[in-house]
Amino acid sequence: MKEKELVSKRYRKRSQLGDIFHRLRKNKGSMFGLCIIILLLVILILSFFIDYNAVTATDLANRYQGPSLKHPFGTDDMGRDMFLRTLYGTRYSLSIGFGATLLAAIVGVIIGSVSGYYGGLVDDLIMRLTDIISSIPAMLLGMVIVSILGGSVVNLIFAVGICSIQYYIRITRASILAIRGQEYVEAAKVIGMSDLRIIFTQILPNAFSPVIVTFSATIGIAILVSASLSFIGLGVAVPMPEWGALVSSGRNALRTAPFVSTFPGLFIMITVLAFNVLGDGLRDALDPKLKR
Amino acid sequence: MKKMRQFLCCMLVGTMLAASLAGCGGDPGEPKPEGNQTEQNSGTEDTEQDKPEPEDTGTTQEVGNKPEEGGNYAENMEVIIDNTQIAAINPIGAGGPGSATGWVYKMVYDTLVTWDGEGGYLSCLATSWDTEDWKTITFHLRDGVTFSNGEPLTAYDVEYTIQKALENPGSVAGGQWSAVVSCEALDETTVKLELNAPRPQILFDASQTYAGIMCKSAVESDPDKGVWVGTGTYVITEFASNDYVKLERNDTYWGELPPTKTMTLRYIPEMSTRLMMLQNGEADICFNLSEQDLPLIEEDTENFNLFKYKANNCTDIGFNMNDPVCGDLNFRMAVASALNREDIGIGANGAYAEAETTGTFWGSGEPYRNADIPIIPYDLEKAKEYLADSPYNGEEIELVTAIPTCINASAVIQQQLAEIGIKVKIKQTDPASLMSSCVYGSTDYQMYCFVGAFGFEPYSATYGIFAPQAMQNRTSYDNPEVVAILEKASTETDQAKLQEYYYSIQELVAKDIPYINLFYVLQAIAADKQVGGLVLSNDAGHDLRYMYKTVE
Amino acid sequence: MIRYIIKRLLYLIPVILCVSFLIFALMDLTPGTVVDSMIPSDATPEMVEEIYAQYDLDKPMVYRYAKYMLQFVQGDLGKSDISGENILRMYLDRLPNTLLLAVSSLFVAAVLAIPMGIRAARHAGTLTDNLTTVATLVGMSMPSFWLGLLLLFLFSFKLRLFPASGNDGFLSYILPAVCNGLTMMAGTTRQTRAAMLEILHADFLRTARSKGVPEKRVIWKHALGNAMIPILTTLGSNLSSSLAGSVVIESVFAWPGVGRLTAEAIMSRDVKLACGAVIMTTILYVIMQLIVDLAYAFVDPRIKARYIRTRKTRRKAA
Repeated sequence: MKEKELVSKRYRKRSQLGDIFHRLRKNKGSMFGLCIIILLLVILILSFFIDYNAVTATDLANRYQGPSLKHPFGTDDMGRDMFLRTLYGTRYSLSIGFGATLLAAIVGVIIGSVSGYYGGLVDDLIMRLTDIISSIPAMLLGMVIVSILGGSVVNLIFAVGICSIQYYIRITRASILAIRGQEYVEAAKVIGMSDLRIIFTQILPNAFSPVIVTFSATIGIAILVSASLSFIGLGVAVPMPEWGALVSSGRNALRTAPFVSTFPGLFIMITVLAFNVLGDGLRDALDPKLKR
Repeated sequence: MKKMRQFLCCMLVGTMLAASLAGCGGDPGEPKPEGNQTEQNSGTEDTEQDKPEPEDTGTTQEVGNKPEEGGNYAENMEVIIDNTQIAAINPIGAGGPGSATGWVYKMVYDTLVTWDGEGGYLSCLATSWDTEDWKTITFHLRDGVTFSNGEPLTAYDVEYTIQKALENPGSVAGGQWSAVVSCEALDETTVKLELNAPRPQILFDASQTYAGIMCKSAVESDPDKGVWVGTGTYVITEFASNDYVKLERNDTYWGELPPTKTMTLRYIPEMSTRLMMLQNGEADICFNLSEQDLPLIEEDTENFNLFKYKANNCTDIGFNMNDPVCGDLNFRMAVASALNREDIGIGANGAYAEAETTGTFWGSGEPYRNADIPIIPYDLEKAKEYLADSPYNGEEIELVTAIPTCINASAVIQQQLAEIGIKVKIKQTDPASLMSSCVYGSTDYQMYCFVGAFGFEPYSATYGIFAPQAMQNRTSYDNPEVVAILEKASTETDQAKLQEYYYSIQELVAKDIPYINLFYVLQAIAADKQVGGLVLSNDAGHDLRYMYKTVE
Repeated sequence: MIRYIIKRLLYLIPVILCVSFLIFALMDLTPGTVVDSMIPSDATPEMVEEIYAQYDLDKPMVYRYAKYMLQFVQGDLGKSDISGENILRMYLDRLPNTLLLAVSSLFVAAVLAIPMGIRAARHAGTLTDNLTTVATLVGMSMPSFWLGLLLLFLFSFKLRLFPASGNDGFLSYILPAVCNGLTMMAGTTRQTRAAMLEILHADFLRTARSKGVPEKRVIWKHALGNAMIPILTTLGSNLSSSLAGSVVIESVFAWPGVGRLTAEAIMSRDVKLACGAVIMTTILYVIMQLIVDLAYAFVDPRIKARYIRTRKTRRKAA
């Protein structure tokens, strides 16, 4: 997915992209991560063929059934099949993780580049505001926002996204500050390019690799934060099978039916792990200097 | 005639029970400090002491093994309270306490009178009371009662308590004394209350745990901890908000002394942890376990007892009656016919739920319950017919709900309503917001799933739920006929008349179905085999004062 | 140095203003208030009005906010809307528990992570290193609530080694501290490994070795001392985030800390308590970050010099 974006936005530098991908391919860990992510995307697509009614269908005669051929992950407190629910839950975790990070990246990059390019009072104001927001612990901010706006996928994206905007603002601003004074930017100004065009065509491409690295690093965190919010009851509404909520639903039966919370938890872990190793590999591939 | 026979049976069993208790002779397991019930009472409240309705199943029960003669009691007991936290111990502070806070109040404060659980009142701090017209009432206080700080109880303390409560209408005590216009201590032992209207219910209000009498001098000298001083059986020694409260026996108590010296009431958020603590002996009694864990206790009959009772309040669906769809009778009939209550109960609380079998909104164990009202049966075909006649046209109905059992129930309801083609979206929120969204009914197409709030005193309970201007009227129900009958019931003291009024109100409401009763939660309390002396009440207002644990 | 500290502390003012306004404004957005649930069932409309007036709910949000801030300036966080308890006292009652959890898990993390990181760096590219990398990646990806439930299930329910909850006695600290510590550990190990890798081949270490300094001393004193800054940063940010984000661990292990207090306040719409608790946590969070920054100065003389130099240059400029 990210590759596609890169391709569309930076078609002129295809060779460099190929280079990056080549380096990425040599990293076994990130290829493993990539495979897992592709697998998750396949599950996501397949889950659109799962009937929603089958996911929420209660079967009260078969509550807390252990894992079996019929129910590979067992059944929960209402006899719902945990396998289907966990698979179906992929869409929530992935869309919240990806959506929140994308939101933060877009907003953060725009604000950061404005701040870095114009400097002066605008820059001061934006940076002070960023400092203030980053002084509020992310989890608390998320809790306040979700509890007030109510739990839904969109609100979670918003709440989790806001918390990581600051990283993008800082990174974009830093890379722009480093470039702003360079001759080719001056040259662009001289030939009468508009500020907007300069930012988008001359400056932003240079900030791209740190943004991509941050993107892959924060997506895992976003998934964890949203799952944690769901776990404490501030997530998407029941009976939607979000993974964090699924883990939470099994905690009362931990003694007698530990499998209910085990499998969705395992899914969260593997997903975050995949994004983390891919992020590691991407960082090494994009910035060879950082490697060792 | 059948009712008469039931009534006689009840009486007989009751007498035998009393006799067997008396046989134990000085047995501390018999918690009746208000032993002198025969004290002179004025004529008017004799009617109040009439026996309750025959079908009344009783609202309280004492549970636990009786101790052997000469048995020893454990010095300390560790109690895990139910899902409500004890946020504060202050009757005149902010309101909204949970049931466990009430248990502490019952242990710390005494009330003027106590309710006998069947519609009559017993003397407590007040030995007698008289009234002409239920507009003014005079209480005569007991002699020789002291507060836990050594101060004697006087009528001025009662006056102060009530005045403080009136100054804080949002407090729990404020709610109890809301009918009082003025309160005056006539002398050291006499206090006179003036009410805003003839209100026989004042005795019930005065008997509630939150109407406990506080010590004037203590509150005035220390507004924070002074409110903890009461005349009750226990004294608070340590309190951490939302966490635990430690209590010690008040050795100067005027009535019978409780057998246990110290008690700790603790809140444990995680259900599986509660089970562990009970099994490891870290706790002696646990008031709320996950329904999944309960069988583990039930099977272990060697070490544990499981006390069960049926909750007084039903878990209901309420409709926003101002809503174009939910306000339509056919739609509500469709919903009522489409619900399989047994399944909802199982989904919500497993084996520990009992489906409603009658059509009345009345509390399960209360006098004046009209159990003859038929329930709307589960019938999908009928439901579809009703739905076809209703203005429902595929809109998404929002089902607002808050606590875990209701949330689980909502998931099953969503399923069952989908079968007849009603689309339901569940909105999960907190109890406070649920209350607000009911009161303001802000959005269209709303239903609510919650545990009913039917108190023991029929008039206040019915008024609170069905009077158009009452805050607890969550469905915005407005039926002038009901209001007119309520008006009549408010000053009535004759049992037969009251029964007639309340029966007709139940019938009227059953026709309009602003609520659909779903199921009663079967509360189960897990305790060590040696624990006894606990008096359970089916509105969760348990009496822990004389609880004990016998030891070798 | 003092000037710097004061500047950082003054910086708290806009932060507090911003946080509290945010919470008041957000909580005001939704219809209904905490008071609705405490109104007696048979209350008359006049009584309802009276209760609303008691909580200033008949006045606009800005009024309540201003009143709250005025109180706050005088060091009074007010009383909880629900329980009527003093908020500052409620918070301070629970703070020691949270601090205890944070510090003990930091201890677990540091004791495990630094040796592991060093070992991995010294044996870079070997099986040990790879195993450590995999373990830390798994640790970083593990949701802490899930790890907590697994630990509970295994050590508390199955093996019955530790109590499942509460904070009485040493044994009860272990599971929450280990659970929180393990998640902290992953990041710290990675950071230690990376920092040590950079420094292990530095010239001054070669000099030390050639002078005959024992290898243990070279690694633990010379190398670690110089790699300490990034490690400290990770540990510090872990400490401050576990102060703020302990809600999850506290809820799994029934730990009576400030995280749970805050979460419960937010969920029950106790505006004042939520606001007070979030403000207090934010203040702690900022102070903790400040302490970490100051700790650099003690670890690294170069940074200490910078603080002092700025003061001197300023004086010169004046």
